[in-house]
Order: sequence, then structure tokens, then C-alpha cells
Amino acid sequence: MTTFKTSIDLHSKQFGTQKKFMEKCLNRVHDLYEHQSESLKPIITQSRNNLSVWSRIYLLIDQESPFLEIMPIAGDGARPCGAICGLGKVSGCWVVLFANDPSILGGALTSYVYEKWARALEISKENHLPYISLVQSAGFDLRQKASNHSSKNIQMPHFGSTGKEFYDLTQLSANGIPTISIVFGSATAGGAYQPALSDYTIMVKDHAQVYLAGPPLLKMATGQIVDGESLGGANMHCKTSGLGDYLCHDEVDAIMQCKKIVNTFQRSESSVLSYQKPVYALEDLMGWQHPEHKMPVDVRELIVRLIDDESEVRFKPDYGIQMECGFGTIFGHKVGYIANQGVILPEAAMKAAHFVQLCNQNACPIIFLHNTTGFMVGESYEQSGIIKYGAQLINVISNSSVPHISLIFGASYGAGNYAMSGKAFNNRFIFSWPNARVGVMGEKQIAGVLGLLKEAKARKLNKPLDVKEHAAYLQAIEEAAREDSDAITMSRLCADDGIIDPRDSRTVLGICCDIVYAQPIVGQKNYGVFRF
Amino acid sequence: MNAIRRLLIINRGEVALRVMTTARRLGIQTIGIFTPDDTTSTHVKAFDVLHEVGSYTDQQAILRIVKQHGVDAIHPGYGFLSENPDFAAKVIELGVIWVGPNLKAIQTLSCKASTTQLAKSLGVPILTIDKTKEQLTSDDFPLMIKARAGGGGRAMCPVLTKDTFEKDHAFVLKEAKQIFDDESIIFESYKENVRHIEVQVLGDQHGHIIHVLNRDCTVQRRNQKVIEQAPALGIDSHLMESIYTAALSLAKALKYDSLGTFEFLVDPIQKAFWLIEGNPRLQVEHGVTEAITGIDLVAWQLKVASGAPLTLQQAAIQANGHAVQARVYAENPYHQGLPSVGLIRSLQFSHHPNAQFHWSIQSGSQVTTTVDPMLGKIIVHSEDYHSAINTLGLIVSESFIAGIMTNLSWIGRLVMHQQFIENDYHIKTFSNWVERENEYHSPTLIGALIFIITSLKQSPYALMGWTNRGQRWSIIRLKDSNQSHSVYYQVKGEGHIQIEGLGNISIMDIQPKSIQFSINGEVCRVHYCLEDNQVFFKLGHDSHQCQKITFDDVPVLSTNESQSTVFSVIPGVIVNIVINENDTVQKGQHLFTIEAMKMHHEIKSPCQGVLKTLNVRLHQVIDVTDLMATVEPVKALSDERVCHE
Repeated sequence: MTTFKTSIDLHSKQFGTQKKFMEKCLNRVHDLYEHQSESLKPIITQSRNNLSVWSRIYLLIDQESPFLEIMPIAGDGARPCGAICGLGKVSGCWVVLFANDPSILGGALTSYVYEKWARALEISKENHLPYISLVQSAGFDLRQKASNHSSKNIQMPHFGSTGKEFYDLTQLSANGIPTISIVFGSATAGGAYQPALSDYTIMVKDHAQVYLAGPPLLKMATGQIVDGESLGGANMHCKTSGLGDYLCHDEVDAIMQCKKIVNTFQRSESSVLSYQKPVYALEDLMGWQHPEHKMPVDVRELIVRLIDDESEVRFKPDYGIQMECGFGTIFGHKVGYIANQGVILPEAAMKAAHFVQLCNQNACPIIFLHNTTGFMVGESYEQSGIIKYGAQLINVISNSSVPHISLIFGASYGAGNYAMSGKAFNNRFIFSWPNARVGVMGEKQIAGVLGLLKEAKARKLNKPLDVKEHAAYLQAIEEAAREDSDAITMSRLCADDGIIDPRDSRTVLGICCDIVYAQPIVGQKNYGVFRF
Repeated sequence: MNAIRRLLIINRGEVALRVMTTARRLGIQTIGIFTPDDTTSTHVKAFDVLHEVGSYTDQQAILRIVKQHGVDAIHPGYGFLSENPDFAAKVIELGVIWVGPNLKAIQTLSCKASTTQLAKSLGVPILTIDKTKEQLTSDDFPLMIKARAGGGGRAMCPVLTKDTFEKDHAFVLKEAKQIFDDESIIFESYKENVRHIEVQVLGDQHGHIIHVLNRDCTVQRRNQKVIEQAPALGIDSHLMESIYTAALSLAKALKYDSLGTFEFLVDPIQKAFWLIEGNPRLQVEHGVTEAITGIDLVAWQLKVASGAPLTLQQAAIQANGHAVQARVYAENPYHQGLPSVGLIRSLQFSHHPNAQFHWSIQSGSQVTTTVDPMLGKIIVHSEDYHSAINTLGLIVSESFIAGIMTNLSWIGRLVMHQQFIENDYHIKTFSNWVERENEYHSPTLIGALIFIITSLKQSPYALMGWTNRGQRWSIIRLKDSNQSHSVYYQVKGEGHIQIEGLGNISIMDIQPKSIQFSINGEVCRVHYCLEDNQVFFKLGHDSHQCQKITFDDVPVLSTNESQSTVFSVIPGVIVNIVINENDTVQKGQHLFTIEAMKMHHEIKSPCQGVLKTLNVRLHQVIDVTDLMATVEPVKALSDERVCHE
């Protein structure tokens, strides 16, 4: 049993208040889930057709399989995204699922759907997972032109820069990653290439319709009047055009056909690993942190709750203590971890860079646990070369070839975010807690810096600032920055893979480990030039 | 005296093993036989020297083996050739010892008429009505019609009133011809309020004859013994003495020089008894006598056959405690004992110091309609009647035969029956008795639970059914005897599952053949056997099975099917077709008769209508679920065979 003794007082008043805050954050996330009630239970309709997107997903994945949803709250905050992306096991094989949700704008491809779609393809490629599309979409969201242009929304790219998804689909296949499309409803124009570019295409009789131009556009283009079924029905495609490989009686049948196909894929036999559960529960961390991340927390409290009991080997525990590093197992999977213990000092950066190389030597995935306000600033630190050390760490992280999995459980500011394998820095998955904060720096610091600049400008122009006005200005900046760095904003804008319940942290990391271990892991031998 | 050195055992399963065990103990080499369709019987692997024969009654083949191997004795066991005087004569002619009585005794006892003739001459009461069919009057009813050559409860039929006489007479005649190839029929007066008591006798070639106490075989189903006990209880000692005397007088008259049994019907209240038959062979139930007396009957049977003197004295034979034997049959106890066939997936019995098991089957045995439906027997020897039957109940409740239906559930409930406990019953009390256990839980849901629990090992609990939004509900799709079901469940955390329709389940113990769990606080252990996508399990006393539906989905059957289909419910041979195409039929009307496992089964029309197609012909061999006919119902809409999804 671990020798670590927790210092969390579950019965303190402070714990209670902080827990309430965490629950509030979590509720805000839950409020953004669409169809929450039906999203947990598959329903087979009498006709076995027109199943909800969730029923399709849950019938497809194995009975006992977890489903790790990616970007579950992506969207403008008003309307959920019209597609679901996630990872589950089909016929014992981890796969990426990308499913159009026809109940939201007919499954139209909005900017958020594109973001998710791109991410789904990326996950498939990086983790070498079969890619399954559950297709039923009205196509490109033609109303986009009229949508609002708030800075808090992702804009639809110009058509000229689109099409990457189709390119990626061909690349998956070229890399030996199987791709399957199950067409449940209509897939028009661009959407038609999704089944066409897939290795396997399954179509539901009397429901699937795939054509370059649907009856309305056809009428506009050529004046020809044809019904949808003859133009691109499942029957026609499976018997005449050859675009469809499997003609299925109904949706349940199509899903079972897909399971059969996946069952023929090559996969490594997963063995049942033995491990010991952690002694302490993640539940204890619900009231662990101060809402503003002001009070430092001991990251070891988190580590002992994530890693299997008695599996941990700490690395350099007495050196560079602002970075906790070590090896351990999660559900029996060997991992290395790098966790922040506040601001990063040069020794900590060196220790972490050293450790990343060890993980690469050891072909061991790395878990990054973010809670840092960034690299230490100040005259002596600049003189000691803090930037060089930061650069070394960023270099080694960027070139590391073992899988990185990031979890932002507190603050993740500035270059600290990059150095901890942030979104842009070579990670396979990145998840956040509902109370996480991600930004260039803290909102107070942003407001302070802008305030100082404004004051300096005022002094230069010799125009004294109105104290009240200045205070309001600072307040507004701080609020905007706060909202911007809020986990929900970040997650909504697809800057992470999703917000998770802190209590699910071990589960999520366990799933990610299972996924990354499905492929051989090879460590990096060559890094870029280090500046010493 | 001719010592036996090489013994040919011309039987199968448990009795072959039983004889072999004693023979080996006495230093006798044993040779066995088997048939090509019986290779999975328990005796096959036990013999070093074993011969394949066309059937267990293939006389030519057996005599060939005798010559080939220099066999000096044949043990016939029970059934098959054990009571065939012609065959015994052929054996004796070859100078080979027949492990049984002298030929005259076999001839007399294998024929009902000669047996009763002998009894009559000795003044032993008999049931036989010495009249021809035409001479019968209404005073003779109720009566029993029996094949003269009969035995084993076959080719016999009780007739309560004169009205049904002709039909029943024809039935027995037909069976007698089919089974014994002998159409001679006898009539007996029919007794109901009586017990079946038999006397074990043992004699040698030197004129010494004793009895080895009695047995009570009153618990019978369709004239087949199910429970046998020793000693018989509740019989007045004077009455019992006169029964012993009668048995010994019969034995003496026959110069009986082997092991044998005389069976009586006994009215304990009227203090009356009647001889029903004598069996010149080892009985299935000899084990209970051995248990209470400590005598190896098979050993004496072999010894006296070789001419050795019987050294046991009557006075030395004492009963010690009480023994009970249960015969385990392959049958559906809820369906008039409909034979059950299939592969024995697993045989699980809890060992008990007071119990012995004698099996003709093992894991992997194929039970077919061509072999004896008796799978084996359980013998319990205990201090007294109550501890013996309670021990039997305990063993049965902890036993599980996976793959086919058996009467274990029936036995399990019988030992809890008040009349049985109080020894207050007669030969008809349990004949048609059947009691279903209250099902607290749906068997299908328990089947689902077993699939779910056994799949839990494969991935950590924390990951099972997890989603970002909470624990999801999963569907497990199952098929039981005739329906498909979708069962919803949710993994709630380490060792906790919720199953829709069942409640909250906590898993307490998972073993390869059993699981223990609590449902809403109530704890139970279920024995199971998992084979690919099939699970066999025991709930209470009953066995169940269901199948997990994986890739191959069951198509939804059309609900407006305008024709109703008639399927066979059992594999067998069609022995009667009572309708023609385009005949009008009533719902429940008898359409076909199938013979399987020595029994006739009527197949009835599922609805009122017109027989559209007849897909079978007479004497055709058919399998379960073979389509036999289609009936076009009178009403266009039929509610038969609608899929319940």
C-alpha cells in the first residue's frame, strides 16, 4: 500500500464550499449535453429504423465497451453540434466513431461538425484505429452565411480551404487503417464521397441515398426529375453502381454487418492486466482546489489517485520539485507522468526534459498533469537562462514519439501549456477538468499589463486617467479574459478533447492508455538541436 | 466348481461399470461391448478390451466375441438380453457360464403366465384374471392389460371401465408386437391403493436359498420406478414375513441358484399382497440393498454362478440404517416426461460421504432417443429414512446437469412433498404429480446476468459501460426456447449491476461453474455452464438454457402470417399420420404420432383450419423443429409465432 498520507480534510468547511464550486462547474457542462436523457440508453424502434444517433452508436459498440466521447460540448453554446465523435470497442477492437446526428439541423455540416470531423480523422490516424462513419447528413450548412460572427464562435472556412477531411480519409486507407461508412440516410454531394472513399460501405435499404446532386439540385442543374431512390438509393448502389458493398434490411442489420466486418480486422490480442486499485478515491478531490487556483495544491494527491497502488517509482523526488515525475501503471498499463507543482523553475524544466527522454528510451506513454502558471520570471531567472530551459523542454516534448496524454486539472498558462504538451504540442489526447483555466496568462495579469500600458500611454500623452473609468476598463478586461480562459469556452471551441468529471480521470486515462497501447510504441532517438 | 476368469459384460453405462468393479475386485478379467452410437457412454473408456457390436442385443456378435476371447462367463446386467431364455440357452450350450439362474427359472420368470401359474400352484396370491377377453365382466374392472412377455412398464395399460377397453387392448397389442414381438396378452385386476414391495433372493447351486430383505419401489412415474428404498417402511412385520415366505417358496420351487427378485403389490392396511413378477437378474435398485446389508450382491451373483456355495446365513442378514436411490432420467418433468435429448455439457455433483453416484453419462455424452433415458442413479445411505431423503434432497439441489432436461427438479420437489416425507403414498400418488417451483426471477434475466457477470472479467469494472455522460445502459440480446429478448443493464461500479426487470445486483463470488450474487439484498448461488454463446444454468431446482444473439440477428417474423406451421417437438420416427392434405382440422386435433425413446407423442394442430401441406411420410425419421405440416387457419389472422421483441 502507498506510504502517501492524504492531507485533504473532507469534513472542513473549505472543502465543502470548494466542492460546491466544482459541482457548479460540472453542471454547466452537463447543461450543454444535448439529449442527455436518451444519450445513455439505446432504444430499438419497432421498425428497427430511424434509430437515434445514440442508439446507433450503442448498438454498434460492444456491450461492455466504454464510450469516450470527444469534444462533447463543441458548439456555439446555443445549439449542440450535429455530430458525435468518440472512441469505443467494436468486436473487441478500438475504433473511432464519427456519427452525424440527423436530429440537429438534419445533421448539417456546421463549422463545429467540421472541427470534430477533422479531430476524429486525426485520432484515427495518430492511434491507427479503424474509422467508422455513421452517415446521415443534409450536407454543407448552407445557412452558415447568415450565422453570427461573434469572436466566441468558430467560423466556417472558405470553401477553397476545405476538403481536408476527404484527403485524410484517403490517407487513413493508405496507412492501412480500415475505414467503414454505414449510410443510414442521405449523403449528398461532398457527403457522397464519404462512403465512396471508405474501404467498406454498408447501406440501409429504402433509407440510404447517396448522390452527387439530389433531386432538387438535379432539377436546378439539368431539369431532370427523378425520385431519390432511383437516383441514389441503397438498392441501386449495391446492385447497379457498386458504390455500396452491403445492402442491409434495416439499421440494426447494418450495424450488425459492421460488427462482422470489424471482426475480420487484424488486431493485437489484448491480455487481461493485473493491477491494484488506488487506495484513495478521486471523489476526495472534488473540494480539493480553490476556485481561483490561488492556493497551491499538492499534485501528489492526484497522482496517487490515478496510478495503480504500489506501482509508482518516483523520479528525482528531491530535485526540481516543481515538476513531479515518475513511472507507474494505470489499469496495469505502464506510463510515465509529469505533473506540475506550481510555477516551473530551471531545475524542474531540466528534470522533466531528462524524464521525457527516459520515457522515449523506455517506450512508455507520458501523462501530463497541468497546473502551472508558466515559467518563472525575474532578473535572476532570465540570467540563468530560463528561456533556454523552457525551449529545451518544448523541443524534447515536440520531438518525443511516445504517446502523450494531457489532463488540465488546474491552470495551464503561457509557455507552461506548451511545455506540458498542450493542444498544439504533440499529444494524442487532451482533457480538462471543469474548473481548468487555459490562457496566455492569468486574467488579473492580463488586465494588469493592459492597465499599466494604458497608464503609461496616458502619462505620455499627459492625459490623466479617470480612476473610475480605468477601474471599469480593468474589470471588463479581466472578465473577458476570465471567460476566455474558462474550460467551457475552451472546450466549446474545440481547443481540447473535452471536459471530464474529475472523478472519471483515472477511467479516461485508462481508456486512453488502452487505446495507445493497441499499437506498438516506439521511442524517439533523434531530437532537434538543444541550446545549452 | 468352474472359477470365472474372463467375463463378458453385455451391457452399457453404469451397470457395466458396476459389474466390472466387483469382477475386478475378484480378480476376473472383463470384456465389454459398445454400439457405434453409444461411444460416449461411461463404460466405453473403462474397459481395456472392448468390442463394437451392432446393438446390445446382437446375439450373433456376442457369441462371436465369446468364442474369440475364450470367455468363460457372461453377465447380462439388466434389460437387453438379461431375461432372454433362448439366448441364455445358447450361451449355456457353448459351455459358458450364464451369470443368472438356471434356464428353467429364466424361462418361467420371463413369462408372466408361467410365473403366475407357478404362484397359483404354490398358493401365492396373484392378480391374474383367468379369463379370455370375451369372458370379462364389469366386475373385473378396473383391470390391467399386459403383454405376456412384458416388463419395464412397457406394453401395459390400466383400464378403469369397460368403455375404453377395446382401444386400450389394441394399443397394448400393438406395443407388445413392436417391443416383444409377441402378441399374447394377459389381464390382471388393477390395484391403486397399494405399494410396490420386492424381495431380493439369493440361492446357490447346492440348494441353499435366502432372501436379502426387501425394497420399496412405490414411487413410480408412468410405471417406471423413480425412487427405490430399503428397507420398506410401514409394513407390518407379520405381513412382511409372509411375503418373504412366499418369495422363498417361489425361489425354492424354481431351484433358484442366483440373484433374483420377486415383486409384489402390497396393501399394508388390508394386510394383503399379490405377486406381480419375478426378475431372474440383477435389478437397477440392487444398490439400496447392498447399502443397508453391506453385502456385495454382484460378487455373490458371480460366485454362485461359478458353483461356489452361498455361505451367507439368513439370520446374519440385518438391515443397517436406510438407503434411498433416485433414478435420473433425461426427460422434461413438466411435459409428461417428454424425453429430452442433446449433448451433456457438464455434470456437476457435490460429493457427500453418504452418497454414491452411478452414471451412464459424462460431460460430452450425447443423449439420443436410441439409448436408455436413465442417465444414472444416486444412492444415499443414512441412519434413518428422514436423514436419507433429506440428504438426497440436498444432493439434488446442489447438482446440475447442463445440456438437457432431467427429472432432478422433480426429485428435488418430491423429497419436500408432505406425503412423501410422511411415507403416506401408494403407487399412483406421484404417477402424474408435477409441481412447478415459484419463479422469483425470470430465467432469461438470470441467463443475461450470467453472461454479463462472466464478461466482467475481461475488462476493468471502471471502464465497463462508462461514457463521459454517465454509465450507459447496454443491451444483451438473448434467445430462449422460443423467444428473443432484449435485456437492458447498467454497470454501476465495482461488483454492482442493475438489470431492468431484475433490480440491483451485487456480485459476491465468481467461479468457473457457479456465481453468487444478491438481488435486491437476497443472496443466491447459481450453477452454470457457459459454452460459446450458450449458457446452461440452474435456478432453484430447474435447469434452463439460453443463447446470446451476436452477429446473426433473428429476423422479425411477419405478424400477419396466414399459415400456421406444425413442427416436431422431438426427434423420432413417425408411426402414425391420422390426416390427409386438405382435411379440415380443429385446434388441438391429433395429427401425427412420433415414437421416440420408447414412447409415443402426439402432435396436434395449432389452430382450426385446413391442412395445406403435409411434409412428412410414415416411418420417416424426423428431428426437432422439422416442419411437419402447415395449416391454413380459418381466421386469416393468426396470433401464433409472433416474435416478442
